[in-house]
Amino acid sequence: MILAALFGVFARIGAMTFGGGYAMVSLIERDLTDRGWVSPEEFADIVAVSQMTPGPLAMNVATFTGRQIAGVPGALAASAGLAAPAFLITAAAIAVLKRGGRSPLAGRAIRGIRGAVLGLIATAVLFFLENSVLRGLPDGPIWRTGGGRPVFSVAAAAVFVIALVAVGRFRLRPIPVILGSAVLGAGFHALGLM
Amino acid sequence: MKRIVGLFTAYFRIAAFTLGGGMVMLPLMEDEFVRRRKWLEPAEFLDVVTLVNALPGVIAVNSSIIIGRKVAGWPGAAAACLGGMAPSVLIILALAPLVALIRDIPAAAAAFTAVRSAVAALILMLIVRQGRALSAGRREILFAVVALAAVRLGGLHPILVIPAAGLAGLLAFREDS
Repeated sequence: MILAALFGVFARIGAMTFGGGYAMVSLIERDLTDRGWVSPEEFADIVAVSQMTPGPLAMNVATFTGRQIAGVPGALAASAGLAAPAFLITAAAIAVLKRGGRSPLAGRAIRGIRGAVLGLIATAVLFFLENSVLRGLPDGPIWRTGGGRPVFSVAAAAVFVIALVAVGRFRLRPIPVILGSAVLGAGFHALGLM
Repeated sequence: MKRIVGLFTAYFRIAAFTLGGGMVMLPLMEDEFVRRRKWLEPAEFLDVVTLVNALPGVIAVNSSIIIGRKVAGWPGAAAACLGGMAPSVLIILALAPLVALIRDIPAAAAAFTAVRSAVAALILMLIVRQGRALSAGRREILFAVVALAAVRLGGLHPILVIPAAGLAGLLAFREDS
């Protein structure tokens, strides 16, 4: 049964990956290409399309792959499979936290964790800057890889600053900022700046 | 019931306006649930971020279930989860063939690049707001900087940062000050 197989494979992917989206890509690729469901080239196309369409990356990949293999029922089976383990995992985590979350010891640990999580979120800021304002950076630390020739985009940096001011000073909501930046990007391109 | 419908529509909107999912969704989730609807305290929101970083699975799906459950129990979790999945499924099914064509238009590529810049700014402002809401002091900022450096420069897997920060927190926040 191809639908059950799709559900099962994506349930396993949903249960076993950490860090979401970009961290999952290589794992999903191996799972799907080993089965002969998609070729490596097709998979690269799937990821590219997923990055250009709204919604969580993994969900887009599941829907796209399911559709390729078994049409709309396949897309639904794969997406449902991806989401299913999350219910069990979060239920277990909430039960554990309820039992241990009230002690003063846990309170001290949580203060440390909250600080560190702000740092983890900051890694996403760098990730997005490196894929817009800067291009062509090496994957690893510069002093280990010898560095590349990073390309600095003034136009993308301008969009970053404008977005900062729009949110920080003028209290614009995220969705208008995202839509406005897309218009700015297309405009800068029309002017030959981007 | 109103909250359950609200969860579905809020997650639908968030998922429909984020490219890439995961971290990109965080500023929109904070805007929707902490600032606009006030269903979550800022500290509660950061705890959600902690949980989704510590748990296996898709960030978007896990966060929808945790927030949905907090706001309206398990029916809320199901509603938020479905709302987060629906745009992906609908858009991919309807537009996948078209998107492959759009990808090769340079103006569209520039627009996508600009959106990534703006998302970096959105996430940065989220961090500033969260830090203020927690009235983060020197020690919290130190924890954030060390965590950032450990992941970016040291290549530490993010999943390991959370237990390490918990242990360090036991030592650093000894007297509750």
